[in-house]
Amino acid sequence: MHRLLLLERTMRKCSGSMFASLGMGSISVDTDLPKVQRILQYAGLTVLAGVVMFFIGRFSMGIFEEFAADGLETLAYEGICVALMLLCLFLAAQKSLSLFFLSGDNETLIHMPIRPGMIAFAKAVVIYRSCVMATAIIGIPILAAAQIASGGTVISFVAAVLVPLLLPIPPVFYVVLLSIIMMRYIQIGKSKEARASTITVIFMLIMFLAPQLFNFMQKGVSAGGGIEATVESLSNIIRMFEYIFPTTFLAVGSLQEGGIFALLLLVAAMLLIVAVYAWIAEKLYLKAILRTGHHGSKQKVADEKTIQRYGRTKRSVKKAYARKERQLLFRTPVFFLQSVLLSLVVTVMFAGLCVFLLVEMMSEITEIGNMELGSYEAYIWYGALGVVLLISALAVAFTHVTSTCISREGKNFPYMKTMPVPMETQLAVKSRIGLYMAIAGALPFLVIMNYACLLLSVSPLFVPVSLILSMSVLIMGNDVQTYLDCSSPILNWENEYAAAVNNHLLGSAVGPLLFVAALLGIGAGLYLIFKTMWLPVIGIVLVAAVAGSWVLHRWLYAKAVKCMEDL
Amino acid sequence: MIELNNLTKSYAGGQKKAVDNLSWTINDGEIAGFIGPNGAGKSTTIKMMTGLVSPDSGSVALNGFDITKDALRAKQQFAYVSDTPDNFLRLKVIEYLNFIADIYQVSEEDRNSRITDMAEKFDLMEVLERPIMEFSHGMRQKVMIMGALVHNPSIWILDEPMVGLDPNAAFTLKELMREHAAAGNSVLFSTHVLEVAEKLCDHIGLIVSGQMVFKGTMEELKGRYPEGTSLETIFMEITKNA
Repeated sequence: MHRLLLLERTMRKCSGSMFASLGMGSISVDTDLPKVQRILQYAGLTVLAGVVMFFIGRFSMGIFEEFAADGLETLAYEGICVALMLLCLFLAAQKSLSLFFLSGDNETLIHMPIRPGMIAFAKAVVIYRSCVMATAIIGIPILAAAQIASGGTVISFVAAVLVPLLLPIPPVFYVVLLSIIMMRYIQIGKSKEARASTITVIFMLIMFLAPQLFNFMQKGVSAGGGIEATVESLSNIIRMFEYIFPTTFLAVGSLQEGGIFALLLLVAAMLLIVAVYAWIAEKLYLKAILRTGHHGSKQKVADEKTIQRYGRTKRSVKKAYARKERQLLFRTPVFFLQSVLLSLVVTVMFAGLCVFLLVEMMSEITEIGNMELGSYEAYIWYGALGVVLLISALAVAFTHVTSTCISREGKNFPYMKTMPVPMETQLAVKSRIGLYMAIAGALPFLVIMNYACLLLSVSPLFVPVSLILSMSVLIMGNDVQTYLDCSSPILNWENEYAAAVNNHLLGSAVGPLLFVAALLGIGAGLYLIFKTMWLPVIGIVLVAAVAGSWVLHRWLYAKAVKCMEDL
Repeated sequence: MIELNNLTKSYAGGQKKAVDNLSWTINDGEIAGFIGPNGAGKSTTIKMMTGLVSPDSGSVALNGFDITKDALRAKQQFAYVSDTPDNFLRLKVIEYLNFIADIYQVSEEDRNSRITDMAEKFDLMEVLERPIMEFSHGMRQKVMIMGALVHNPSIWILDEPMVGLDPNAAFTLKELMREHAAAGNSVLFSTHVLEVAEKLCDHIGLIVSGQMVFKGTMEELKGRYPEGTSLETIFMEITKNA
């Protein structure tokens, strides 16, 4: 047991912050600090988690009450459990890539007197811990709020705490088992990183597309049924996932009245899953590792022509640097998955949803657009601008390119410092790549929003205003991320995952969002005072947003460059 | 020409002096060996020379350009090979070399001829299109040396360059160092292999506990001890007494 815990702790430390899965990549407790400070840090994190959990609980209570009023309590419980397990499946898929396929510890660990099954078990525990962090913070308050709303018994409250802690076990079991089986039976050899990335991408796409497809098929069956049809469709989707996670009915049962038997069965089922995993891991893990060793690559023999082919274009320093950045970002599977693909998946998923909604509501929107909007136009302006700004903030927060720009360099960083390229140039290139990614993430939504507003017969002036304010949030958010990673990078990493999740702070875009929102508030105040002079008011807001972005950019850049020089 | 003037660097809030008032000049046409026990301050000195670490006091001038005050022009003067050849592992060898050539704005003609020449000398021609991460330590070291030399700077600063190299590559590197110095340039390298320093260097600097305890030619050092005393014995003697 001691060895298992030791292994788990070492692997966890090597694989980055546990809070990364929650978008809080740089939150961690410094174990080198004196005991009192460490306790204070833990206390601070607990309070923070408590506040977040309180708001989640408060928000979900009302929703649950509405479900309960319609007699859909069970459906709500099923939905929560399935959603938490899907979240775990998603998180575990990401983490298993670095802990299993791309793990650099095999050569160190396998020759030690440790059972292979124990290594595999410790890895599964690392993944479980990262998932349980998410399910506990999200799931416990939701289920506790549901119990309060439905007047649950003591057992139900115990279940509300235990269920989120147990739910990650099946998805983690699936992912790690699948990883081991794939490592054992699929010869991924030399190009294992590319293949592992492809497999993960396919897996993630299936995860997102399967429910949509299922939903679409169900809609076809129950078209025109109103709310009943929607409920039917939702329960069908949940039912589909219950086939994948058969323990869901036990979790749901334990949350309902008289659920002690179901709770005990759930615990027993989870213990059984753990035991089965331990047994399979012991049988397969060593064989799986032996299959993933390096098997040599197809030797491309280079010659002088090769040298001329690569060397025929002399690039400017900036272009060469940008090219190197892109190559490292796109070729390193962990960086690609964490920094590029996640934002793309989120973008594609939500943009698709927006387009779907837009198409569905097209006739209503056009109808409203044909009406005389009058003073309602101002509300549409503010509503649409709010959405645009939120989208921009989310786009920059989910693009983890700039927030890891220095950390990704790792051991390259000292070498970069010896090059005759100013730090400002190096930083500008790095930051710009992240900004372009964030813009690419936000753009589909901006186009959709602007198109919808034009359909609503909102003034065409909305287009430049929304784009300028959106750019302002994107640029400022990107600059905050640049500074964050320059001031607290991780350079001495062995596992790329540690660098890839550094400074994943969803909060990095909150400041810029609030700044632009405040400007809009001031603009609203001015508009109310000088109603006829709305054009100058818009002008003032835009100038202030652009000036604010510029000042923040200059200030943060100077600080970031200083941090880089001091590293 | 490399000029180190009264370099001092402390760590742990000034409690531990890693380098203490070190001065040394390596003239054009010289190969200088930097020797000393582990933790003596060799790497810290080299890091100050290359701009990786700022000195607490003192200065470094490379061909007359101060590494602190005129960093970019000073950095144009030298090639640096670090003691850990694990840089840009995801790039192919040829991509890495072209990246460095682009950073130093080497013309297409020069880069192609230098890459060809060095790839043949270091026996890397056939693997130019493979990612660096597939290589052993020694192969990576060869790639880093090629990258450092692709822009043909006048000063070479090499931190433990022989570590991991096979005898052929080590011989090639020593030959390159000799040729470079003979052409009127400066080479400084740190090493623990005393025989290499003895055979290759015009000038050696011996650092112990951050202080330069000897600088001069090998003959001058040997002249201080009874005839026939090996360099190894001298090294042990000096480091024991320091």
